[in-house]
Amino acid sequence: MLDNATALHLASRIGFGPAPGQIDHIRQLGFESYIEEQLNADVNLLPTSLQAQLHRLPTFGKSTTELYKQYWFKALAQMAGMGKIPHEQKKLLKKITNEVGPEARMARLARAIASPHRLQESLVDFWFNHFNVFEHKKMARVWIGAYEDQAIRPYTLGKFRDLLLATARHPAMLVYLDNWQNVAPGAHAHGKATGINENYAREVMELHTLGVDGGYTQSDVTALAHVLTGWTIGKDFSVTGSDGDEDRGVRGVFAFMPRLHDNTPQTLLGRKFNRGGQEDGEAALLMLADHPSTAKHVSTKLAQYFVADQPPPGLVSNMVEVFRKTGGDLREVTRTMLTSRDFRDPANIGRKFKTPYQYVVSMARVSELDPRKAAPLAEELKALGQPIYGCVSPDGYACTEATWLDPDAMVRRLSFAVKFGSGAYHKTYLAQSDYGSMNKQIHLQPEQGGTPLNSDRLLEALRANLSGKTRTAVAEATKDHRAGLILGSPEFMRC
Amino acid sequence: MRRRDFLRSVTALSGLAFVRIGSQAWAAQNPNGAPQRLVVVLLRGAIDGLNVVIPYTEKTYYAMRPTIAVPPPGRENGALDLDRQFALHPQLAPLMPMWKERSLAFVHACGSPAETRSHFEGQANVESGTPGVKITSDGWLNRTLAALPAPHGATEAVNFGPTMPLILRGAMPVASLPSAGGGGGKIAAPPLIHAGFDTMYSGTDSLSAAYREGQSAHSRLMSDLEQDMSEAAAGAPSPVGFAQDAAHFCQLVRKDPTVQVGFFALSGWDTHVREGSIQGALPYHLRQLAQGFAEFRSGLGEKGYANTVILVVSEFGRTARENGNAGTDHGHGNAMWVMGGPVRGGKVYGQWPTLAEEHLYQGRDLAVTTDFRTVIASVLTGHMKLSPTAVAKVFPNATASTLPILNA
Repeated sequence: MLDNATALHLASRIGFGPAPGQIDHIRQLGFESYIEEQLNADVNLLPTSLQAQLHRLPTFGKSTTELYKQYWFKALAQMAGMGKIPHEQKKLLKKITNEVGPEARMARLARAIASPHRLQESLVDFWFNHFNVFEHKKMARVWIGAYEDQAIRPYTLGKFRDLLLATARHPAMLVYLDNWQNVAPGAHAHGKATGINENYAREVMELHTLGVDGGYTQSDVTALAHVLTGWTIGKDFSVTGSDGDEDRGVRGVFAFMPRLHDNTPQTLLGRKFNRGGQEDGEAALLMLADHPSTAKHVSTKLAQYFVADQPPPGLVSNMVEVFRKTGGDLREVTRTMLTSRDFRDPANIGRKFKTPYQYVVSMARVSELDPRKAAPLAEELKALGQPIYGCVSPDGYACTEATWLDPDAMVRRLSFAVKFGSGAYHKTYLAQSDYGSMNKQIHLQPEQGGTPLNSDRLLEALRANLSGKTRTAVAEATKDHRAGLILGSPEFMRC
Repeated sequence: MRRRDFLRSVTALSGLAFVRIGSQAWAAQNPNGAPQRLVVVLLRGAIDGLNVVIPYTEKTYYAMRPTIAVPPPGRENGALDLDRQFALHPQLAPLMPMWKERSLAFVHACGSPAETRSHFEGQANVESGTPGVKITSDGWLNRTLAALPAPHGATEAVNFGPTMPLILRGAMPVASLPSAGGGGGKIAAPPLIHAGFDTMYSGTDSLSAAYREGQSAHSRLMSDLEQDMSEAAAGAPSPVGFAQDAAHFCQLVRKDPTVQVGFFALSGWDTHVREGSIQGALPYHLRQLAQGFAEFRSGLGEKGYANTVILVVSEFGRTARENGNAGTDHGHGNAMWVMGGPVRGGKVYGQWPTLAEEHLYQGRDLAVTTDFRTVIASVLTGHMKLSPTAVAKVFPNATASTLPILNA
């Protein structure tokens, strides 16, 4: 049988900490078998109750076209009668599209808490941040959940190039990094003359593939922007060409529009792109996916998330080798990382400081929070500075202690731990319907009381090797305060 | 913050077992009794400086902005004349008293030498203070704290917002208050079962250090705000948004002279669409900004204002021409604002490059003629009394130069 400490490490690093009974499951399977179970899981197979919860969300599983019609188009229609008062229009838009975001957050949290596919949930957290999209940018509001489900989740253990292309063509990314408006100089789109917009071309090299020191220059950014002109969204703007019979594509999904594409030959990283059309853009992205700098950038970031804030160089170079040998097979790269000596090195165990997201989800898991009551956790994450889908900048949320540990963050976390341990959270939310109330601002009030979480059950679930100080503090506290102390302990802040 | 939350927190605090440094005691030991104070307001999203400090005497300005230009002074809803060359957006009328008393100045055509039109990079440049160096992990404001004389209390710097922005990250401790405009909304209730946490976090590790700083800062901030809540309740209706944060900051510094640095970040300036001339997205946000500045002016009191410099900076400016959506796109040069008692105000500083085609940066943006670090360095040297060596540590790669924007 695998020892408790190693099993706890697996549960903590892969999938936000243990739920009751999980440590036993891991111990029985053993180290390698558990990792294989997670690497080979059919992630679409979810427990019936979780599946049912997801499918009760009206926006879950909808196509981007449907979401566009039902939410964005509706909002535009209502705004048409409002005149030109931008902030009033903004408010209305927010109200209408606010149905989608909270449901997407609910779908994310429910799976993060209750899905048996723990590795998948961590990888979704990692890859969403790698290919970050900020919810509150234009139509991304209505596509944010679809983006995660269509462009991230299916590819977490596939080929990196497929993940890259799926994100590049997703309307949420096209809007977020402006490529839908990146058109050949002089081309007429959206009723006005526009031209090159470098935003996506820059970020795809700096953040998604090569990395900031990956060996590209400003002229590569400009060249890639030209290559990617005409990669846009169907029918969202009218195209007026000389002959006026442009194929306008399907509303709400990726479309390549030849008339908006600049066929001028370009040189990107020393290679000529002169075939024209969508082919050039795809070839350029594939070249970036296969670039050695990309293997290094991606491996370093993965190791930082799963192993240590300062990733061990030896591990990274092994991952890079596997990445290159397998053509960017993420299952193989992830396996290499998780079965490495570095992943199990005692120096790397219990040393990562949880991000607010990891912290909050780990609390929900260890206390067996009903995933249907997860909505207010999204509010708490706002207060902790990590709102889901709320990272404005394209680099996504970082996962390091340097980013998240500060004095005020400690006070906030401990306050939440106490509130959560006191049972106030559970009591408040047991009274609510499944998800009907999620649009309302929720404030948890400690004085509302509730039944404190059972501290013995928490300790049993955690099998934590608690320090003497923590054990003393828990033992000396009154019974009602023990759960809050465990959830606020240094051991539970880290993973 | 709602009063009820606040009272609960304070009640909970009264039993906390840490040593409180009495702020009054510290003040008594300080011969001046009034430390120099610096407030930085970062306008995230790139404010359109050409519609804030408006070059109304240039015909090009009106030609380039057929729908969003602000009418010249004297016209209906016209801009407010500053110096017969520039005029202020009419929504900033609450700033005119400060301009007239000469405690408000602008430095036009400021910016970063590192070329970028990405918000992400631009803000990183402005916050790290090392434009073009992407690996800097601490901010210039935190490095400034390190250069201030000891003792460094837990509330030497106060950040308004839920996470520590890059500008304040670094070795020096910084306290946080929730921003009225951003997420969070209220001051975190202090952990009620502190005795247990005191035991757990009594070590020398990073978490224990953060815990102790957090407890200490929190109690200071809460007690400072507590005394003022009753005073504020008797007065005018509470300001909202940025003005509310500004009011909170003023309350803090009136009570606690060890608070030397305040940081505020405001968003809503990325006006690609329907920016507006005298009505629209930009005017709407300018009005809120102006209310905040009026709050600083009155809330700090005469003594406080005399010792405070408020800097306003944005990551870059916006295109000189309006775009096809009656907005502006990412540009280059911008205006910085400098306000406060020590400021030699009533003047628009900087070398104005004009909007003439041949002087525009890459044919589209206001050029940069003053490095943003020059403006900040002028304040650090002249107001915060940092030595040139100390300033060189705050801005390691900048060429040392200053502008005469402060009173001698």
